[in-house]
Amino acid sequence: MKTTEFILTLLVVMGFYSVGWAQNHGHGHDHNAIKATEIQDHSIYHTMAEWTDHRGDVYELNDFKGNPLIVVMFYGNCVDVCPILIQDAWRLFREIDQSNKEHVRVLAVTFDPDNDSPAVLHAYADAQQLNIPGWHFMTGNRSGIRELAMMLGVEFRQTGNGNFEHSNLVTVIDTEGVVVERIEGLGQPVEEAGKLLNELVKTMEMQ
Amino acid sequence: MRYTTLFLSILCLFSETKALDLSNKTVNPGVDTTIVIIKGNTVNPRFEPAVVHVQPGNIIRFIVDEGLHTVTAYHPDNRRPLRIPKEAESFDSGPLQAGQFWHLKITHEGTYDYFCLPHESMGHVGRIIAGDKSIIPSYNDEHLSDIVKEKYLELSSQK
Repeated sequence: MKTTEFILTLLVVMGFYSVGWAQNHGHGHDHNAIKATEIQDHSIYHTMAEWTDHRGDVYELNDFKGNPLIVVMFYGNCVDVCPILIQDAWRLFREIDQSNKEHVRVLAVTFDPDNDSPAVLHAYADAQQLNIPGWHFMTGNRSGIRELAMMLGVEFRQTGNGNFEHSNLVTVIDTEGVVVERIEGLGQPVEEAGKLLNELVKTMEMQ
Repeated sequence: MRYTTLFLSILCLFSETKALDLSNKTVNPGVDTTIVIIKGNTVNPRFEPAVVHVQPGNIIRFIVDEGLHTVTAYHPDNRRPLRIPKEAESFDSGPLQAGQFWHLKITHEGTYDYFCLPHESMGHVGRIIAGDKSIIPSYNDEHLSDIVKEKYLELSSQK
């Protein structure tokens, strides 16, 4: 009898545990993401590529020198992880003190220049309700996009159906263009990176 | 005695694991009252049922059947117009994959509209009505996409 009771109790406990396991299944949320690669601490401002944002303004990355940056790479047709990546960039932006926000720039750079024209990116920014000061949804030429991705350690490749497999990475860049924080994976904590951005703004103001 | 020791050891091991899991993905764990299944991926993503009726204090368990989804409030914290009761806190489950679930505790009476971040553009939205079913939400449709407006029109008729 005691043995039977024990086995039954054990089965109940195992069932209880399996709920927890199911909840934990797949944590990491990379959803077939490509792992980001290691990077050198070179400034991204050494590149000369031209970029156009969703407002039609043309930039070189060097134009953002002097401001802390949040950079995220995505593509507009993505109905999978990219809207969550954009949300993650937004969550990080939200962590910045209100008075510091105006000093931080957010660059959301597309993998897909064929489809993501400035007009398409404008519609995307509107749909995401992120057509706000400091945010730039940017496109460029293929080599510039590849070069930036390499400097950030973002891996990406186009799949046969017009989609992209890519690393899920939100990057913080200092005023000199050097990567100082990388948040890999979806839905990761952003508090520490937010503090870092506030410190970068403080340092910037002291210079 | 041997069994008791073995049993207690296993219980401790599993209890600890569960506590860690709950801290990751659960808001206010407790007794489930209502289940919403999240189905589809890039084809026909949907919450089933799309409209649920609960009472303040109830907990809703969202279970992901397939795909990658979120349960995200229409709230300025998520860059969307306010479509949950003013007194209620915003929510965002973060990414949820097949096999995962997430709990939401409903705190105030009223209508809670929510969406899935990856699939909002496909009309993947849901509604929770807490308390009096006859309350008609007076939410402003401005800043919603046409497909989401249509979806909520459709959901309103299901009340």
